[in-house]
Amino acid sequence: MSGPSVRETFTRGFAISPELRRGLGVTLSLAVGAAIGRVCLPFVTQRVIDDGLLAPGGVDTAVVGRYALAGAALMLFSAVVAWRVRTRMVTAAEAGLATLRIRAFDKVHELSVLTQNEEQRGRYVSRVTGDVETMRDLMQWTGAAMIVSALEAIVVFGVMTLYSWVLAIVVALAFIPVVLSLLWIQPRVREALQRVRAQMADLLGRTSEQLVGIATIRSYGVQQRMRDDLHREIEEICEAERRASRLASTNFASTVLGQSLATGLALIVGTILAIRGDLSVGTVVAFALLVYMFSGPLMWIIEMLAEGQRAMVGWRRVLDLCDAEVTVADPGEGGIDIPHGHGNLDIKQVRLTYPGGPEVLKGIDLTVARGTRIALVGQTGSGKTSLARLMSRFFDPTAGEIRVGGVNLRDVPSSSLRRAVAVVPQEGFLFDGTIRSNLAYALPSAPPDDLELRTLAAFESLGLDAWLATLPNGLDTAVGPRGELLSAGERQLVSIARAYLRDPDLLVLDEATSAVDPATEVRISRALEGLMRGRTAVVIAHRLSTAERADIIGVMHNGELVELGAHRELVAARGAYADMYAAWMSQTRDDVE
Amino acid sequence: MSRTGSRTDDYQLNGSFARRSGHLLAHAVRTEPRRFAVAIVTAGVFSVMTVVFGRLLGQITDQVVIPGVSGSPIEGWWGERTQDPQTAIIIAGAVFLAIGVVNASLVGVRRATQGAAVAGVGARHRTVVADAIASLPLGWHRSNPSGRILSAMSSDSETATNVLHPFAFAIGSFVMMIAAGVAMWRMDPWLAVTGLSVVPVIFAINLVYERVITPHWDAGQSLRSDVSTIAHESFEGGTIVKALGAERLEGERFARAARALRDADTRVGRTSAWFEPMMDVVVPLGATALMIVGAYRAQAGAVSVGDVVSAIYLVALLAVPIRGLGWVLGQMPSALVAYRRIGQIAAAATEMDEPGHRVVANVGAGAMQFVRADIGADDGDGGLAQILTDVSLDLAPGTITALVGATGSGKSTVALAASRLARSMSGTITLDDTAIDTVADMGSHVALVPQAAFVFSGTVRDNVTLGEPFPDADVWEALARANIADVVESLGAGLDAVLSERGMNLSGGQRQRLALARALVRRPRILVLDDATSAVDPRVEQEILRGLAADGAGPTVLIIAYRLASILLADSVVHVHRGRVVDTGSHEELLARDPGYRELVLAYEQDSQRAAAESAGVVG
Repeated sequence: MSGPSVRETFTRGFAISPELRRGLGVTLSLAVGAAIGRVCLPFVTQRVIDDGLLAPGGVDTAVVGRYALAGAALMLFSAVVAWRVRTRMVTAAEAGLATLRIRAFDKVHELSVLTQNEEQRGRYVSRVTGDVETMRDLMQWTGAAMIVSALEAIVVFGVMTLYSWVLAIVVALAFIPVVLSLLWIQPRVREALQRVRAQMADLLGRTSEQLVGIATIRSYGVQQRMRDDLHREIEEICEAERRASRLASTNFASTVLGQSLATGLALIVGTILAIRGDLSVGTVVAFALLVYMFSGPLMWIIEMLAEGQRAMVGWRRVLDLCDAEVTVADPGEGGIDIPHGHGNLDIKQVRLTYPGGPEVLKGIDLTVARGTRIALVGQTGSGKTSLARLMSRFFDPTAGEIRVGGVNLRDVPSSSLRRAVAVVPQEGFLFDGTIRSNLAYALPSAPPDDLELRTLAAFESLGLDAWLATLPNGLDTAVGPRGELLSAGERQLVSIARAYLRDPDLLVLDEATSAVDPATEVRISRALEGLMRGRTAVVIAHRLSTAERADIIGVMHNGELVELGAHRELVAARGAYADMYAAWMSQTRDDVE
Repeated sequence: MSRTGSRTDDYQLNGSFARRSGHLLAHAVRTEPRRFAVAIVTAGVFSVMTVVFGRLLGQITDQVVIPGVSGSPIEGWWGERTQDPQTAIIIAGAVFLAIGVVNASLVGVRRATQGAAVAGVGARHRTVVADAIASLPLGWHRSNPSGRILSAMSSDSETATNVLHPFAFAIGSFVMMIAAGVAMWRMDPWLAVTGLSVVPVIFAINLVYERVITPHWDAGQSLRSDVSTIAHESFEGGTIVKALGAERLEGERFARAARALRDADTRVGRTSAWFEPMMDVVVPLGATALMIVGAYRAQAGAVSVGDVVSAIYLVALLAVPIRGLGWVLGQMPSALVAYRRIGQIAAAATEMDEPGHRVVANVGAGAMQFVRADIGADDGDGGLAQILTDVSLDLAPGTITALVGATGSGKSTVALAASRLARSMSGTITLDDTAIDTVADMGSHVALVPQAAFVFSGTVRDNVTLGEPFPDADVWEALARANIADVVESLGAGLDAVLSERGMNLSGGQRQRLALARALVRRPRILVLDDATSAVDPRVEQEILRGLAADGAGPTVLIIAYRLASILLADSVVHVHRGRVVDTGSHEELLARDPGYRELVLAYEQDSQRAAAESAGVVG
């Protein structure tokens, strides 16, 4: 990573989490104090040897005692300071990280649905979890420890220079080859570890595939083959890990070598200087300890550099998310509300191109009068889903405009838009909790009693009261993560009730494709009828039976609206829709009758 | 699988903390005996060398440096070599350096072998989990999230092995402590006692720290998983959040969890904030104590100045290995938890790959009978929960039987039982008059196609053959019968076309058709379709189903379907309701005599008629 980008990361990171910066100066000053306290041992040792043990008149225990106790006091004091430094760092780091996490989370929901595809989602989750965690070490411990270690190494080196600049230079020279070799090895170690991580991701990918196919695997008796696949991946990971540890081992070996080299050279040069009368015996011995105290933090810093870099990468990623451009801007207070009861839809010359993709909507013009139900039909990829998503402003069209109740969606504040336009997606997604807590999403500000009344009324008018009665805990039935304790059809029912509670003017429905049992299917379609009654509705139809029931049908093909009209008109027109309908009729109806 | 069986015992942890820790370490050493032996021996030698290094520093001080400076004769071994102080110190420095080189290589060797050993243990943990996957009862998979297996493979395996990294070093530390103790004792017992007093102090601090930090840490971990769960859920339902305009609500929900985590982590951090400095200060304090004791002993003439220097240096050296021991102890509790989690998976993997032994002739379509079978599904805890009661079915060779029933009626359990993936608790299920529990190579007779199509990243060929040696022509034929050959051709690389992870480059219906081809290439005698074509276009579905029996040599088919057209293809229909077979017969028969069935299958029809009437009203 280059210098400026590190600085940019810090600048931007501090701007988003000012807690990280607050009081940093004091913390670092304290850290210097702690470092000085910690390096007093060699100094005390030197004094004790020269003035106490080798005192001219024999061992002077009083001097030794004085120095030793003073040293102990100083060390204890520095330990207290170090404790304070850590406490400050931890508090600041945790506060800063929580802020960053929350900021990143909010950002994900601000981003348009366009960027919220499945593959992205996993990444977003790791932004607010894993990436923040890697930084956590840097912020609350690695970073502080690196700074303290660096200070310690500097202070130790300063002490060495004060004792003897010649010896200090000798020690520094002894460490140069070590530092160089570490700087050379470290990136390779990191690379090797990255490979381990990538292979680990492959293994997990393959494992989750197998978990999906477990019944198939057992049914076909291919267990051992599947195990062998995993064994291969595991073996590869093991090999990669071994390679990384071989590389890393040279790191440690050269550290020890540098330490011995520096101690040996310091001893030789120190003694020669001492013989010439330039140094005391205590100083020579103190140097042996100083080398040890100098190399420790130095090596530690180099070792932590990799961690630090990983954390910087993580931080950068979270910051990039925080800085991602919000493509769908909320006009907020200054916007125009969609008037209640006006769900008429006007689409003018709408074009849409996904970033880096082909044009998926090529100039759509469509007007849907208030209270009308339109079904969009067409092949997968014809653009019907994209068009529907534009209506709920999950993202904005590349060109053209969409008006609901006469107001351009770009001018509608988010709160008004979500009240006026309700979406019932294909997969009824529920949040972990109860049916009640999920319905509360529709009316966040309603008091509990009111919510209960309105909910029960909604269930009744949607014909779902009988279904609700079959649930042992009624509205308090737990739905589980993603609503998985309920069946797909039941999730759909709750989603419909949720949309109903909003009392929207325009409904955008994506018909479910997965089959549910016929009884639930009937409930769903009745509830949908109830939901759509009196409202403008756009239905993305996957079944022609659904399309048949709409007031008008729009046939999408290749990003264009190729046919538009009532079912009978389109059948009579003998176009694309008529062909689809004929094909469908031939394979369903003739069997029944 | 006997291999898994013997491994399972290895993963059972019992007894006290010390015993369980011993078990974990012994398991590791047994897995990689040679590498750990090398690592431990080099660590031990390194420790002894380090002590020698420290001892040497004192000797050199006494015998070379002090005499050299004061002009007295050089003493000891050095004195025998030379009396020139400069030459003597160069020799001493060279010896110092030589020890350094030896120590450096020892460190290198230890690190490399130890890393290799730990990687080997990690691989073993992962292998145990990998081997367990297909041997875990289906009920286990149902009641445990897939994350359980994935985290056993990744984070649990890592946590269980992380503790091993400083293992050899820690054993070396014991050696070093003993060697340092002996070296000091030989100088002077008083120095030894003073110097080694840091060891119990450090252990005590560690112990107290572990006690205090563990509850904080546990609390933090659980809040961490809350944060992750909320993020997962909220992003997965991102569209809904947006559609409901619930961004702010969700933001608040997340912020609450993130702040709770912040507070917990701050508590952990503040607790460990006193630990590290305390550990750091113990050794220097020990050194100052040594100075005072050493001074009195030197005054009494019991020790030399060099001895005191050596003792101080040895104590300073002890700091690192003692920290290493603390590290092992500190990580042990979480390692044991992770180890146990892997063990639990291994212990639950009780299903055998090949429980059968009776060879059934592999000719023509198969006959299967359920006779008064009660069928259970694993509840995930090793027990059986009864799902189906008193089920009798007769699948005559070459016929198509449709299972019809509401969600949760037990249809899928019938399908699983027919494929021997669910067990009969009483009654019998037979294949060609042989109890299916005893049939060898069941996979060659019965093929199950579940609703969730299993597609993995790899070639089309691998996805169809699952590694078995079917000729390409057979694979193509199966693809054609599943009506997916044209899609494969359009991918451009024939059977070598690569499918992305979980077949994301295919639509749901295409994935299901591929899964069907996988069943067909095996030429099963009985084909079990558990809503296996739900995402396939109805017209295509009809073609496929009709094609199955087209050449007269098709398999016996058991199909669970919701579409009326598919039901109509069946020779006989079985109506399942609340775990029991309500009625069996042709569609017409059931329609006539079974009101529940009538309600069920005509629901579509009634609904579309009602809708037709409504829309007629609107249009007309």
